[in-house]
Amino acid sequence: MNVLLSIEDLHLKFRTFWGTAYVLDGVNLKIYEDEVFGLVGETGCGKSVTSMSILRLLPSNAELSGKIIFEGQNLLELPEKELRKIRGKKISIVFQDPMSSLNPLFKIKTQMGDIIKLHHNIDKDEALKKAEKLLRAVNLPDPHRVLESYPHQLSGGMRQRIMIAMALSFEPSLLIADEPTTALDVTIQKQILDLILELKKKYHFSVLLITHDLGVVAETCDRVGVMYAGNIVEVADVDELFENPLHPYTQGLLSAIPDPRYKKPLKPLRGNVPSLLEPPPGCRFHPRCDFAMKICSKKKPKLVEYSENHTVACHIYRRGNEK
Amino acid sequence: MTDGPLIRVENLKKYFPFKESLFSRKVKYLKAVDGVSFSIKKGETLALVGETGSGKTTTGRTIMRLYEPTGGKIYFEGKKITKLPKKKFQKIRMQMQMIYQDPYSSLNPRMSILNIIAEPLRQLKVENIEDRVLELLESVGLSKEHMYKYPDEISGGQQQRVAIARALAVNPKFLVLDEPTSALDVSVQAQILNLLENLQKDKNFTYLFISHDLSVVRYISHRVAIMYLGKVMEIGTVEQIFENPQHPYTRILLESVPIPDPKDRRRKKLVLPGEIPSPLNPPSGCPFHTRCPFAKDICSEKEPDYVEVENGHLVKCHFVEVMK
Repeated sequence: MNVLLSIEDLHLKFRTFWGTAYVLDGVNLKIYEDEVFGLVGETGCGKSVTSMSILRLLPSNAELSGKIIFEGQNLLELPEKELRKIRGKKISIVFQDPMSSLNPLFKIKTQMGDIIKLHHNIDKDEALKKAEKLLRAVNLPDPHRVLESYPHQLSGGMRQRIMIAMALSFEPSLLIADEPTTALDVTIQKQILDLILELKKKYHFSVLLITHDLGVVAETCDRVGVMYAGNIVEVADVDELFENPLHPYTQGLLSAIPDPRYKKPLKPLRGNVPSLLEPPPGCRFHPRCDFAMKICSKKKPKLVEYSENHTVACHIYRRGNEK
Repeated sequence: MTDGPLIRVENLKKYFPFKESLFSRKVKYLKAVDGVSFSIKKGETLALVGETGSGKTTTGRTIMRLYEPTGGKIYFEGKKITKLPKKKFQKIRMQMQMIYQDPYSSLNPRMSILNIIAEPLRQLKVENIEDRVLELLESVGLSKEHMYKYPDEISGGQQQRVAIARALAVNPKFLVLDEPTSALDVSVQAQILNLLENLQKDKNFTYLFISHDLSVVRYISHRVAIMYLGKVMEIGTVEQIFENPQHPYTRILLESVPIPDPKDRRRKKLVLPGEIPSPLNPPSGCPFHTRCPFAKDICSEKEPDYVEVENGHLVKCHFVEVMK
């Protein structure tokens, strides 16, 4: 498999009124061609901001360092003009709340038509024809009516389908889906996730799926990265991660989620997510970890390979790997 | 009446009037809750489950009489409270408390945690308020250090604990929990669910647990009612609903829940087409017939009655027997 996107040692700081927030602390990950990569973690772990860094859609108080290599180019060094050829075309993004991603004042046809017209350099009629085709591709019934509607006239599921249609209009090689179904009901969530997988099969793009829901990960992803407080703590194939979670945080997450199939006792993680203004030294998880050792508060563990396709950043597993 | 249910709801209705346009004279009704009946025993948790717009929150609020019911009866400890005058009802309402989804917006940002919890105690003229607040904080897993903080200084999970402590201040018997964990992260959600469960064991609380998350419902509840467009489609014990679902809607809803086990992925699942119809213009007959894969002509003509398939397991569908 070929690597499509590779993030190397990505650091991100935000200068804020209260001090500097160390939001990403050396993120490393690779996304291969034609795969669904899930990035999971709790609120504030840095999963969304990682995706925003890829497209450089960050506010001006952000300081970014590291490398993001896409098709041989480092996106962080690319001039804005060059980046625009990638943003929205080769890498597109679908956000959580489809209502706030669409302009409430304009009809869908205006919003879709404008973008298609601009990027494809075609006239209005052709653009609308293409928009209609795209809406059909995302299984929207009656695309004509949809094009003539304002966003508020459509349901959440339909709006999310439109966002996906717009994201796909330039045949991207990477689709970033940032909590695409969090605002939707479970039955609609199922439809949207199935749609993304179906389109992926058809057009062979990779998906970076950002979510907090381990159930969604289990149902859709090929590989998974678990994030905690600005670090990737574990990466593995989806089956391997659920069967053999290594990092204490991953283990904690898995034993904290209820299973709809049977009632199992829930073991919550103790404590809270740390403040990123003053992150704990060493491993950022150590204050909540049941297995914390002396070294954990002093030295940050590196992401090391534990077995094939399974890497983990935890001092517990270091000894076994020093060959 | 000691053995009777703590709360009983009979044919509860809540209609909201609306006009189709600003100047039209004709008033129509949005039937948010349309003939809901159930009862909850003391110490039991009944979960109300449904999608957005199914009327689950309205049901909870109408039981608390935050909305006056349009029709039907509500009994609390065998006493009818639907038409009770306000003064008399207030004494009963004290035994019923509500916890909301977003803990931050249900706490006054300008009040310290101490004052937030002390407010109901002052109303009741309790002595040694600070001791009692501390006792309440400890019962929800917080400590003295939180007493002088303000809501924005503590985390979401801790805010929800404060909201629970405040509800417990008046010694209620019945709690309406409206999506109490949906704003929280999974690791914190587990803390709150365990807290609610332990409180119930200790104090024999009765819960009406409103949720759209079936995994959480499976964990916390004893009985489950599945709602769709203001009506209960199926009700039964948690085992009856999850292991032997009878209504097509329940079955598809359960199939849609993502399961945290990748091995489950290969199983072929039913997918529900379309979306929940607008309650402004509900379908005739069975409200689910527009999306039901098993619908026949009769479904659009006649509203089905409840069929009892097992002891206490009621299903509102014409074809319960056939589907078996």
